[in-house]
Amino acid sequence: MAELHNTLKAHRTEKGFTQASLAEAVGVSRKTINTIENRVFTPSTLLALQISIALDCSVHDIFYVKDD
Amino acid sequence: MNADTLARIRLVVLGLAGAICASYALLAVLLNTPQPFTVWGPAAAGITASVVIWVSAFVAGERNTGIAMDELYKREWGLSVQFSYWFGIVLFILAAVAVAKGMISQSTGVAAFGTAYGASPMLAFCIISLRS
Repeated sequence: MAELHNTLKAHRTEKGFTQASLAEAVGVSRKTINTIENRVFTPSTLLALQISIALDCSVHDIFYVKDD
Repeated sequence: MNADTLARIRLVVLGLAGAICASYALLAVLLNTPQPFTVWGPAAAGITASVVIWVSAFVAGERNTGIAMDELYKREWGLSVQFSYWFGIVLFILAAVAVAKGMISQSTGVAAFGTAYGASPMLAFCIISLRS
């Protein structure tokens, strides 16, 4: 079954963001960023795009579909 | 006050209000009385919780309140309400059976299962939020 994976943690640390600072930049809680990184929570399209803008990369660089 | 503090306050007051409502329901069934303690207890707990959350949100400001009520919060609250819907249906059946079989009086059934239904979204939210 296809599942949504992400490389958010790698991109975030590469750009020098902490979970808290990225959360502040996109206007969500730190817990939301944490649960996205751990694949507990799937963000909306809007939030995914906001994260990619904050990290200055394409949304496809962060989120991808993987067949398990 | 930042968004994390507001979220913690919300979790605590919803947990307390839910626990008071659940305690009322449990004691009502165990003691077979519609009023195990003051009937205003669950109502006061719910109103106090809403006032505390509202005042905390007001103090935290619009941006922090928006962060504390982001899409993860909406998802978790949505799951809590979904659970509460099905829990309410099960409660209704349980109450009907318990009253029909004479295990509890009708007034006890209304008091106990009404407060249990009130407690369910609050406690479910706390559990879902703490697990994520």
